[in-house]
Amino acid sequence: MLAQQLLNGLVVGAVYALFSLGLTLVFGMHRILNLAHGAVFMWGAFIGYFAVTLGHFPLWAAFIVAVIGAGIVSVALDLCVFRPLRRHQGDEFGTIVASIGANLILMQLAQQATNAQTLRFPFGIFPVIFYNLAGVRISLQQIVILASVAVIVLGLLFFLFRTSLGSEARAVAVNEPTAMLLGVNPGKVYFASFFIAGMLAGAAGVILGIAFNSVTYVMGEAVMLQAFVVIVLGGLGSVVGAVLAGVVIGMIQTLTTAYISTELSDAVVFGLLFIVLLIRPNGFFSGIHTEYRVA
Amino acid sequence: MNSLRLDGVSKRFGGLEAVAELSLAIERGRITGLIGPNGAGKTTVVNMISGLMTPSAGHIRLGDEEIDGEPLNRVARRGISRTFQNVRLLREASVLENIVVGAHRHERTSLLANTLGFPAAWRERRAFREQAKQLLQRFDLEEFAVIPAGGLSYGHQRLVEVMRALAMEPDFLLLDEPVAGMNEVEARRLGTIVRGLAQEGIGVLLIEHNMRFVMEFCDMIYVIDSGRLIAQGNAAAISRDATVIKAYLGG
Amino acid sequence: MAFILTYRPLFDLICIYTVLAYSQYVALRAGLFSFATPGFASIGGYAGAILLKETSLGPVLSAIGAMACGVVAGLILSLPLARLRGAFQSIATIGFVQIMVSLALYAQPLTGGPLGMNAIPKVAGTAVLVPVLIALATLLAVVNRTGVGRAFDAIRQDYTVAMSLGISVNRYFRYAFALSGAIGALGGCLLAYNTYSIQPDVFGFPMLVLVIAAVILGGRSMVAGPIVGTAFLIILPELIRPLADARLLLQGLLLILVIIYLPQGIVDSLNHRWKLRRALNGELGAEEKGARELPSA
Repeated sequence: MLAQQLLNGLVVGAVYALFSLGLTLVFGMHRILNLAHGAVFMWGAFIGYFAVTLGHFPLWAAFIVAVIGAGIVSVALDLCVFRPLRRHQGDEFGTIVASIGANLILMQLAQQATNAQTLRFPFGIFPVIFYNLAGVRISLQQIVILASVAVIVLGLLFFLFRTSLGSEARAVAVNEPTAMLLGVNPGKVYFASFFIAGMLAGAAGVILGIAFNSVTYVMGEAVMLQAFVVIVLGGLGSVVGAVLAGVVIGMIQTLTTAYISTELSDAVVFGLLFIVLLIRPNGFFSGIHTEYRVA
Repeated sequence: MNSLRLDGVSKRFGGLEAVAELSLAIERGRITGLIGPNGAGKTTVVNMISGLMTPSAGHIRLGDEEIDGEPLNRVARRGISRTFQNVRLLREASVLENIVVGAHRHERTSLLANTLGFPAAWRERRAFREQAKQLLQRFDLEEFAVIPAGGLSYGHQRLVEVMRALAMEPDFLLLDEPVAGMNEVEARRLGTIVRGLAQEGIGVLLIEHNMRFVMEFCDMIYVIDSGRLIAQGNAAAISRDATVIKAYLGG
Repeated sequence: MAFILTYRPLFDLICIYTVLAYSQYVALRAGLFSFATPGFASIGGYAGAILLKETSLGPVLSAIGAMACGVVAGLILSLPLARLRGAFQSIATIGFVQIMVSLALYAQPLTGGPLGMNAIPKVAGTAVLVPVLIALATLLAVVNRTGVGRAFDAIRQDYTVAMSLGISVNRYFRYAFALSGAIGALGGCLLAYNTYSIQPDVFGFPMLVLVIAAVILGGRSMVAGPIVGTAFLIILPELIRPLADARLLLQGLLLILVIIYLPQGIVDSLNHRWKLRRALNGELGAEEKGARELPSA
């Protein structure tokens, strides 16, 4: 059932894309490789879970709470870690090291809060309905995931290219000192980019948490590793590249898991990373729609 | 290899033409000045010669060889050294260590010898440090040898950068605004040292903002404005040139 | 005497992890954004254990074989990564660590899969570890003082300047990867030869965090840095028991605080301060003498 696997891969890839967008956006704009992005994703899933179980929110409301909550976690990360580092003239390597530290803290907090248990959303939180589409089974959940990812990506593009804050953000991405001379407030732009990146990660967290019905404090690590491949394949800083590459990686991963083996799917995906770095380090999609590039 | 020449060199950044069809020659044994108002494209010229940027058009020739498009380290190995407009020293390393790094071009011992500490590597290290100390003497800065370079004043950092460039024992030396941040006395002292270097056979390209300094020390002066050559000649001719006066006073 | 016996395993562990920290140190000193050390250690650990158990090479040759594997791995990594800068190197090397964990899990016939390899002869006790560590530290001190160290320092602090002085950044990056690979593999091999058994997850992210924290905390320049950093990170949770449960939190906080407020690390900062003071105690302070400058006309 190749078509079925491709559809499943498309859904997984769409979520990877959502997650990777935030990572590539922050890197493209501020040259910050935020290795704690996976922890923000994980916290998004946790907030969504607790909103449903403790807060008794309906799913759509829990989703919004989680998305905003993850956005706040991400902004807090910038304020508590990256901003002091900028103040002290930290370099690019410093931001990577600091983000490793932040990742550890966020993970250990989640571990303590849950006693390292795997949490599961209540049974039947999402109606299990399947449709038959030309021989391919597609669930309502998959349709909703694809539709929400599409809406979120379009919303992001609209923000970046049709709003004034978006064009200020792109100016910072091109050249921060010049943008500041032109009157762009860097604090506002950092806030916006980290908030958006966090929201994207949070959305991906809740979606994956429900889709795989598992929320754990280590869930960020695996998706982070996939996202590395996605952002390199798509071209660091490229929004459209991240979306296309996310889908490609999702499909490759699903296919290798289905036809070869689960353990090797990681190795295949990372083998791909090395090949890309060897022959086309700027990614494969950075050439498409250069006007959509953030960096 | 007695001259370093630019033939019709241009550099475009997007739609902006930073340097347009510039031709000039830097001769060994002479100090060539390149002056112009802020944003005239002077630093772009140094960046292109040293290999940090590739010209959009035209060629850079060292003797008969085209060197445009070669990476920075290859150009350096050919004996062209440079300083940076916004001083770039290894701030954590001592002044002496900063100068010794400049001798890298003359390193003859292998990676293995340097890793395992063969006697040849130590001999080389001693020789480089000796050479660096002589430079410090020449610039009268011996007492700063062990200080971390980041702790020096701006003017002294500039001098360390010049010494580092000289440790390369270059044939051509590109100085990007070497006296910015120095007072008149210090500037004149550096000028005298640079004149001595030219007499020893080094070809110097001097990029400056400070007209008086350029007029006093340069044998040949090129003036550019908005990336175009607007005048060339010796100091006397340049100081009479109407277009130069207009460019500087803003007309 | 009892005291020494009680803490001997801890002391051995500090020695082994210092070796691993040196692998990370070489990479950082050369200006690589590499986190590949646990991957190299995994290769060295498994190669060393397999060679020792399955062949008659003996411990010394097996360890050399393991280091050779580390060099090869480092050189392969350097193929794409010596040309690339910054974040690319971080991303790819973290990926490399993950691949090595996956491969160790997958290659069950060779590595024992998730259960790992057991009953490895203990051929590297304290009497072996200490001389090895001293030899390695001496070697690195030599590297620091000769041409390779000069080139590494220049590249780390400003690679444009390094290139403008004729230094081939790619060549030294390749060399740093190979050296880091050899040392990392040695560390992994010593771990296998000291602790009787190894499992895939030993060479995962906890090791990555520990070695990076050790080097950042100790310092990226002086050879003493990684020793101090490793000893601190391993001893501290033992001294203050409640901290043992919050080890990750502690390491995370330390990483953030040190990189912001003490970016040169403990040893290098002290050394820097000492040098400045010694220089300023001369007849005239540098700041004082150089401060009388006015911008030229």
